[in-house]
Amino acid sequence: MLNQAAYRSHPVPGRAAAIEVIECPGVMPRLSRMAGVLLLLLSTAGFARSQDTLASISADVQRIYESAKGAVVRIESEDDFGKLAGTGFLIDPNGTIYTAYDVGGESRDITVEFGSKRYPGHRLVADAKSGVAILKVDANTPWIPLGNSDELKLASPIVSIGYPLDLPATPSFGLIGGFDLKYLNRYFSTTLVRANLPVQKGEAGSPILNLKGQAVGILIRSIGNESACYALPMKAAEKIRADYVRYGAVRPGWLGVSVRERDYAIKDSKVEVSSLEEHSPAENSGLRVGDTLLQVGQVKVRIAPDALNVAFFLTVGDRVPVTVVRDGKDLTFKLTVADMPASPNQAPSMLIPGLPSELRSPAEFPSYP
Amino acid sequence: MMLDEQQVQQLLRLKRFEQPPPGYFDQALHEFHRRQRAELLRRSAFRIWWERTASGLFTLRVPNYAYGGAFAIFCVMATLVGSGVFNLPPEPELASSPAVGTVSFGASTVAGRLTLNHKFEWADLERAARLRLAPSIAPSSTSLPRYVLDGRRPVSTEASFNF
Repeated sequence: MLNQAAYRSHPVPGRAAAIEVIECPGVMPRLSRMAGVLLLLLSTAGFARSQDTLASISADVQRIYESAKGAVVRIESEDDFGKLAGTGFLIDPNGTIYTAYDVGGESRDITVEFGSKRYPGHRLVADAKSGVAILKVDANTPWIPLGNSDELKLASPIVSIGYPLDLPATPSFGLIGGFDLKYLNRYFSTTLVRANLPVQKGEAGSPILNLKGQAVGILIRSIGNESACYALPMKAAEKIRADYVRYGAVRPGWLGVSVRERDYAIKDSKVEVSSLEEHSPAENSGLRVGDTLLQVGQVKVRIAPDALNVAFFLTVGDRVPVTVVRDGKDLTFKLTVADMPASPNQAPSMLIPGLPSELRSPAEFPSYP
Repeated sequence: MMLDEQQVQQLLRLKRFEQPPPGYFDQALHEFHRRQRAELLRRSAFRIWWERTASGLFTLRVPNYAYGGAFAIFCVMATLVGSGVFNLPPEPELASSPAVGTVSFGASTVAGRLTLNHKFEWADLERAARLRLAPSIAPSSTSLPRYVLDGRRPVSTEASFNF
């Protein structure tokens, strides 16, 4: 047997070299046996480690599911096309609910079900641009703590809990697949989280949870044949809620700046100011056409679509610092954000279709508890 | 117009010399049969069927006890119908708000109320009119809801870069 033999070079007269097979019984079997045992140990250790990892993930998902499922609600309502059902989740003990705009943004006769009880719900505010609706039930409720969506990284593990079809609350596990501002040649109103997380019908409005059990996003739509989904980051949803708390409605801010993208970058930014609206906060502040935009508020600007994020997070009445580069020097201007001027392209969030007309005026909104 | 005596005499003189065409009386019987056959063919199919059926029934020999049996069956059926055995069971009344009733439920309610021994009331028509005759997509207590995952409108709508 070849594996039971040793080889060595052996000079032979008349030949350059010859190989002599020397039988060494006892050496190779011992080596091969040791290698086999080592291989077995390594494979067993690897298998055990992978089992531990799977068990750990499963335990994490179970822990998150058990802690959060009580605050995940089934929402039933009715619109012009009939009854609809979706998911939402409670974010405070006063019964405030985040859900998707398509579940609670325009519907009526809202019923919220959790803890085997059903409660009538009403809409506080809805924003079609971002795809979120905020509802409320008059009850003391469990709630899910909110997390920082800025801490999400690519491939961060996430869990969602939703009500698929007429089934009970169901967990799903996945990973962050990306942060997209553009999808199929169209731009979102702000950067959305793409989650490689299987979803099913009825799960719009489900919470996206990190492994700490904190809500970091709201599932707003599926992509790729329901094998993945887009979620609104919690930071964006909280901006809508902050607007409601301050003004009773969503009030997109406006500075009066138009931007375009250059072919080259200055200090990592390709974005320059292309025009300034007359009598706008930008014009009055001293910004000029041709300035290279670096940052607006907390949003860093690198490419032109970053302007969408800038626009989304502007809040009327805020003083925001705008940093630009002019003639090689960094300049910072303080601008006061104004109301978006009325136009045919007015933000749909200001209209809130389906909301009674007497509630469209911010002054008529009830104060937030 | 009445004729006087002189006019009647003139008419009789004229009639006295009237003669039928040659062969008239020889063809009279043949013409009669021809017109009779034409009249038979002109009758409707239903009339022909009815005449044949009636003539067939008269020739049919029905036992005398069959008349008694038929009369007994008629009496039993009349008794049953009069007692209300065949009436539909009364539908439960709608709850306090009849406008939320569905089409099928409301329709069956009206059908249940308009039975043979039920006196017609205008309220029945008003009740039917109040029912919302919505298309099949309209909500009902039995239909499943639309489970939402994707909305009807795209979330992505932005096109210009300004703020």
